[in-house]
Amino acid sequence: MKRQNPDEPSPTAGRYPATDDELELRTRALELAMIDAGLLGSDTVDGIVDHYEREIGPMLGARVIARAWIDPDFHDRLVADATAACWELGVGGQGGERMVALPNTDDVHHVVVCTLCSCYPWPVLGVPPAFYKSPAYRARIVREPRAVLRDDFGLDLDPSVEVRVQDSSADVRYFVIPRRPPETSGLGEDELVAWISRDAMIGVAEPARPR
Amino acid sequence: VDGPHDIGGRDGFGPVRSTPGYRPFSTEWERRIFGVALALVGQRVMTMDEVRYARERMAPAEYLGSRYFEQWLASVETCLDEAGVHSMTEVDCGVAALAAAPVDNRPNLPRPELLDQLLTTMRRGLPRGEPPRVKASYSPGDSVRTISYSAPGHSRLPQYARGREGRVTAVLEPRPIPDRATHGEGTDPVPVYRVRFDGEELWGPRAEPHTTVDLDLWESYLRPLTEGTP
Repeated sequence: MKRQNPDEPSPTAGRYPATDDELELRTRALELAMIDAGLLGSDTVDGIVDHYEREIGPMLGARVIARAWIDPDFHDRLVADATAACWELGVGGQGGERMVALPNTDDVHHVVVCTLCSCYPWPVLGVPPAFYKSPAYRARIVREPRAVLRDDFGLDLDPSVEVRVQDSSADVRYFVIPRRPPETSGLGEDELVAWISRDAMIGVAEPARPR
Repeated sequence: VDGPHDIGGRDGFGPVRSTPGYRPFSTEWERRIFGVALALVGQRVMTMDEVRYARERMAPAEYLGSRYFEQWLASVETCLDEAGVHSMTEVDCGVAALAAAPVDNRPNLPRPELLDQLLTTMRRGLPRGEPPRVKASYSPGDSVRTISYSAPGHSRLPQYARGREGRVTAVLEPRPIPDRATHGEGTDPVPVYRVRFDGEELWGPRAEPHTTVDLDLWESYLRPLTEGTP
């Protein structure tokens, strides 16, 4: 792609934002054109989306974290090379070719963002939630993470804990290994999974007793 | 490009509204643009860097007024136009024709082999290859300063972290630098580092105590601290 003059209008200028009805029409028109161009079949889009809706999601990440809580050797491998460790459990794929797991400790709390777009560990957590993609989160979490965590997520961290924000700026995808709550001692892997939410793996929540 | 996407640290966006539960898409058009984009990237019709660069060049009011998947749609349309695959004129004609058509006229043309190939890529990931051997100029613990300017094309150094002092905490896998790769100017791998910045260094007196930000930065965004601000 040619390096554009940044002040040259985008080809889409004047067409956005649009209403849901217009967007419905635009996506259908685009899909039809791509079928005509031989780049899509009529089954392609549904097949891809079904995969994301049915096979991928935060339950995969929760399984990885639960294993790390139970198996210290796996925990160490996960910290050393998250991509390889996740593959041991059959977790991985597009959007997770290079993943890093950030272990929370008593002294450091990690929280993940992508301020420039919305890079996210897809094969481990699925499609990012709306808040993760929102301008408010991308703008504020780097500058005032304590306030965002406290006011918007109800997570009030002790002032002695360092809050370390990871801005995913080079396509490496990050997720957090939350600290295991003491109340979970004795629980098995399947029971632990229910404690580990998507938000805990982004770093905006702590693991919590399943409701 | 200093586009409207570069919003880290900006004021005025209000509180973060969190939403529990896993609901990947809220409308049918969101589902469909997600699938179209992944299928086109999976066939290398466009790269994720090109999609990002297309989104970043939306006019600020149009970018900020558009929802997330709306930006995806706009950027896919831009990439197809600029790749010569499907022009904006053709997009406009297609939309007009569809608006005039009373029924969903999607043809029944399944391509099971294509879907299979795309799902395989999704399950396995894009090929990663051998980690390239490139000599890294910095090591963990080194103090560095980021450059203070941006290139006119695609770039991945946010404004809030420009001209700032940090320390290298990890050496990551060398990757092609988007500043060149997006524009067909070379895919040679360049060292990438994780660099830690203290809150005070980034935000001055507005910083919250005991906060840091880690960014992943290509080597050409960095200078040794001793050289001063580039």
